Amino acid sequence: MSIVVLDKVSKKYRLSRLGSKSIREELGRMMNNLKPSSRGQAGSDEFYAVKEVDLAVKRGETIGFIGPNGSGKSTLLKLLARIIYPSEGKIMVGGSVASLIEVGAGFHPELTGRENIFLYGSIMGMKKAEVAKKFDRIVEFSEMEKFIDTPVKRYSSGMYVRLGFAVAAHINPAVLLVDEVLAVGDANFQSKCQQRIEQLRRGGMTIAFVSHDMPAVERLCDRVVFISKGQIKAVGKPQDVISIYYNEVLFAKKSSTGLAQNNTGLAIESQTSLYGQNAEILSVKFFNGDGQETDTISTGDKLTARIHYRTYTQIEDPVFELLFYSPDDRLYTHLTTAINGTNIDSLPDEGIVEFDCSEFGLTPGIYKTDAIFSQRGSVAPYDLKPRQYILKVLPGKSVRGMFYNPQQWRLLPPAETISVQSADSNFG
Amino acid sequence: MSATAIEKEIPSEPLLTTPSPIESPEPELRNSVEWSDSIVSHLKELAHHWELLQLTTQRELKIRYKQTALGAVWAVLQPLSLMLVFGIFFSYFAGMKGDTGMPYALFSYTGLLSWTFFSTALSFAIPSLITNSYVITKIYFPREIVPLSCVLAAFVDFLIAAVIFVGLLLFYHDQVTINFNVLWVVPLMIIQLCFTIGVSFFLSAFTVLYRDVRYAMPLVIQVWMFATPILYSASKVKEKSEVLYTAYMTLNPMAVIIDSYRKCIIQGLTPDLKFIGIAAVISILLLLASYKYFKHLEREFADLV
Repeated sequence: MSIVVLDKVSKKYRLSRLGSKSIREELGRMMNNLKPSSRGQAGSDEFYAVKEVDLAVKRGETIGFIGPNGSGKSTLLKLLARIIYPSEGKIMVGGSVASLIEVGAGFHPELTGRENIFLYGSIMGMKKAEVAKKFDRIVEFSEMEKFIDTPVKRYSSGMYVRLGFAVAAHINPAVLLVDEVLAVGDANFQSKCQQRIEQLRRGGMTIAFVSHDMPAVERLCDRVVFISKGQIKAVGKPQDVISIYYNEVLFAKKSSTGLAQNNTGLAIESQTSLYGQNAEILSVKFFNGDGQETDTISTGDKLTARIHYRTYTQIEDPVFELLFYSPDDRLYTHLTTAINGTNIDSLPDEGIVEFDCSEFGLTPGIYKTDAIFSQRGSVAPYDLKPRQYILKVLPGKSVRGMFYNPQQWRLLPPAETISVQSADSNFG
Repeated sequence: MSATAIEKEIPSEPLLTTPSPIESPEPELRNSVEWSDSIVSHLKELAHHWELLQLTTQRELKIRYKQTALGAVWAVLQPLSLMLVFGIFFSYFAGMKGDTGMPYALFSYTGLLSWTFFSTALSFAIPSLITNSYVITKIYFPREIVPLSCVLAAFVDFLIAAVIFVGLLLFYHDQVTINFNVLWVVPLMIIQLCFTIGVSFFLSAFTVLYRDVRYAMPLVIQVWMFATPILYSASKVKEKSEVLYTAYMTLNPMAVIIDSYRKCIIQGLTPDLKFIGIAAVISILLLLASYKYFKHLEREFADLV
């Protein structure tokens, strides 16, 4: 049964009328419109933030909205929250809607935490008695017992957000809208927030949320909607829709990221012109399980990487490394010949070093790779190619969690189970 | 690893209680775009948010006087100091008189008290949607609560400042006639509230469209103050011209309200029912029309503020 139905919903903005104007400007515009020459432009400055969206959200479902910035996800959420009204189409909602568009948006800086809990709760549609009943739990959740009678303006931004989420997490609407607010507070509080969302979900609440955090979307949602340019591009199972999203949006940007990466590469090279004097990395190529050269694999697939090098002097005890970085420049994994006992005794002047992994564990995303060629124990490498090679990873065997692990499972035969238990009891 | 060891890793008790599933099993789908198009449904929704109105009114009052040394005394100080200034300059130096047989202090305070309510309410309510844009663009609630709470907060100030008025009545008790006509105060206050809320709804919504209102308002309020019998008696207008007086009392409900306050409280007379009737009709029609206008524009507030 549907709890939210969108029927051909559009939100149109007139670019020239965003924000309010003074009467003088308005008169000027009216005069301009009277001139025959400037007529007929009316349609040109129209902009659809959301266009003809049809969607039905089922009761108790958790639905995620993903898409690039400016695609209309948040506009859609604001439409559902009744903050803004659609220009065309109908929105039907069966019950109360609470929106967490911005945590703590209803707080007043001059009021104390206690006063704000009641005010914010009330804005979110809770009755005073209800807030009073949940007050202790809200305060406990926010971990703000000490500062509850301090004006909110003296709070740090973290405290502010914690209190905001604590209130919001205790309202009990039919539909909860969440916009990118799960990433609040420190790691400890974040996991508490996610736990709470999970609980609300299990409690039968319908949740719609917007996020760029794909693992969270993957983990929390029953269904995912991919929005681009105000229109629905795909709806379906999280894994399917996320991989469509990666394909269409992230990978379409290849040329631009490639450029940026070249720039940084150049900058580093000019600083360290010594690279490549004694030895050089000529290329790094990736191959899939079929042995075909590729730049795209799926999580858990076989991956082969080949580093093509050339040396100009005698190289002793060489080390080859590959480092995979996410777009936000975090190091995800480090592969090296140095630590797993791979010793290369004599190196030909030119050749290929191959890395091989039967189940590669990176989760979906785009990774930029550093390739390093150095001597064991030396500080300055012979050659370093920073963020030079791109590897795209699509959702594959598993996408929950930070990384994929190769795994074997089996059911122990009864005889073996008993022997394991008795072995345990010996230690107990 | 033994079975018991595995069990231990599962958190034995959830940190928080899971909320009970939503009560109504089969909620009816409502069209959120059209579900509130009549005044009745607007009022129903407002009634549903009654506690929010209370809280925002309290907030208005609290933040206005937080971190001020005198606090709520300011509510009294404003009309009181104006009364002293006008008393000294207009009455003592310029020899201006109020209604016959009425001490000027009492006469002017009556006018200033109710005028201060009106002008304070407007000056807070008119820009209120813009100053509260940070909530309006983030959370839905009936938007009329914002200007309404400003008017109600000003009304509380008005009641506090009325204490001085009672003091003045006691002080001048030998020049005051109190009788049953005092009860007219109640309908007069209701008319004044309706009128003030009506003007606030209209102008606060209009300000979202055209910010000019914010700058024009102080001037308009000042001119309006002089067009209202606050420092002078309405009877002075009547002396000049009967026609002018009728126009004056018909077009300006505030004139009727203030003049009637004086008549019924201080002089113990029945106020002019014809003009009260007109003022009441104007105020109620204005309130309904501006409420409708407000709710109509409300859909665009979040896009425009």
